[in-house]
Amino acid sequence: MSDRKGSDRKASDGKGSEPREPRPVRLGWWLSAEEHDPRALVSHARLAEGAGFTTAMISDHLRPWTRRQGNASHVWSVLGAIAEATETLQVGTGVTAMVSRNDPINIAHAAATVAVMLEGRFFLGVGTGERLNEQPFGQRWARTGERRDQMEEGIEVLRSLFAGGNVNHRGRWWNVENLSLATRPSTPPPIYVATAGPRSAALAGQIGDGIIGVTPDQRLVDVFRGSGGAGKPCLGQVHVSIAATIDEARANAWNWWSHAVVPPALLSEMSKPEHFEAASAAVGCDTIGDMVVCATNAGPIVVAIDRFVGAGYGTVYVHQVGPDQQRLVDLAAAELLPHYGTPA
Amino acid sequence: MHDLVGGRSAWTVLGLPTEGEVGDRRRIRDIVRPAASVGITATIADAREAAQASGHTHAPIAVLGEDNVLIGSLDPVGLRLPRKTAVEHAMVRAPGTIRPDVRLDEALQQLRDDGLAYTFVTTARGEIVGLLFSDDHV
Repeated sequence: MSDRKGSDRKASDGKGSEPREPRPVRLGWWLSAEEHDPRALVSHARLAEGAGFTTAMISDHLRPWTRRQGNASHVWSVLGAIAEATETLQVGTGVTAMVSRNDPINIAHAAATVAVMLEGRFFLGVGTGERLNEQPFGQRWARTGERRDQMEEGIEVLRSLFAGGNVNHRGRWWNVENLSLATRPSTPPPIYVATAGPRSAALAGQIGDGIIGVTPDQRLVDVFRGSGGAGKPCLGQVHVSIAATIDEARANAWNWWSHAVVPPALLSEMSKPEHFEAASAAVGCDTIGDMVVCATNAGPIVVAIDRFVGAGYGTVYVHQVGPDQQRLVDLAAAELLPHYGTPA
Repeated sequence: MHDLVGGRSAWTVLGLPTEGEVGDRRRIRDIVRPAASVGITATIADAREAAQASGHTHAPIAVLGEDNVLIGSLDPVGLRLPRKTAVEHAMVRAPGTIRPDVRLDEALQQLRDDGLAYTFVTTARGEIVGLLFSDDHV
């Protein structure tokens, strides 16, 4: 029966209850390593912290999506510099893949070092990768299910290495022989799993500490929770293009983030930036406004963030497409962060 | 012996045994929990109030249109939005639903197979009945 007007039935179902004023939505800053050189990324992290953001996520790419973007710096080097340049900002990777490019030993080594440098401010985002970043190694591009298996076993290796002690592992995908990480944080960093469908959401619920999603899909959040992820963080991402006029915002979005119009099924399958450029050109710029929130003020961005929150994402990372990062700093400090209850 | 087709259908719909032992005859309607709900014009403040009044602050909130028809779902995380936010802007439209006459063991197994934590229960016309959680025990 509906309980529209309330009920005297209280929280006796084991689901617990929340305080009357729930904690606010958390806004994050997206550091796009495809678009900005490493020095700019460090500068942007400092800008974000100064504007009042408490968390940031940085992409981990070997190559940009399109040649126009022009960058793809080594994420662990940049994170080391960000650790030194910031004091309170939490930073994580979004996301690091364990396919060809990264062996879990190397990821554990790098992540443990960065976690020590960031002193509890680091999280590790992991995923099943894109062919764009793996094909240069010249190996077969495995199907999604295989890559998910690789990631699952890789997370097991990561957790063993983070836990300390001597690790030996001989698995289907990864091997470790007599390794103990000498530099590692006292508390292992949380591992958040990128989720694009119900299978990865279920796996994230079973073995992850949270999920990273790019669409406001309540079903993925629900599968994550139903598979063991209840109470764990759900992180979303919104692409925005803020400019003086809508036309400028659309032009900026198309200029710097044109691959957003490529159908999701192709994103992980194409192997060269030229492929993304060709696919984007074939689709055309008409739908760029559906994929990137083009705005001159906070209104449309708030609506996009609200959709993620309504679907269950407690933290939403805002990615200002293009070089003009100051526009997001200004809008966030003046409107977005205060709106969501985070002091500017 | 007469084969009263209508009677057989009614028998089946009610979940009465068609072969073997009686088994678990319970239906979703036997254990469905009330769902906190608000109208489509509500704000987050209204949704918080409805959730707290129902005692289900960790459950999704049903967003209802006319005649109590379910048109959207607001995740409990959505209660963190600013109080004046329109629920209509934050809700997820057309959430998944299940009918109250479905056998309980089958429904729970389906939820578990799909990895879902819950589903809304509505009549065939979309009127809200309540919520079924995958950890509701048979």
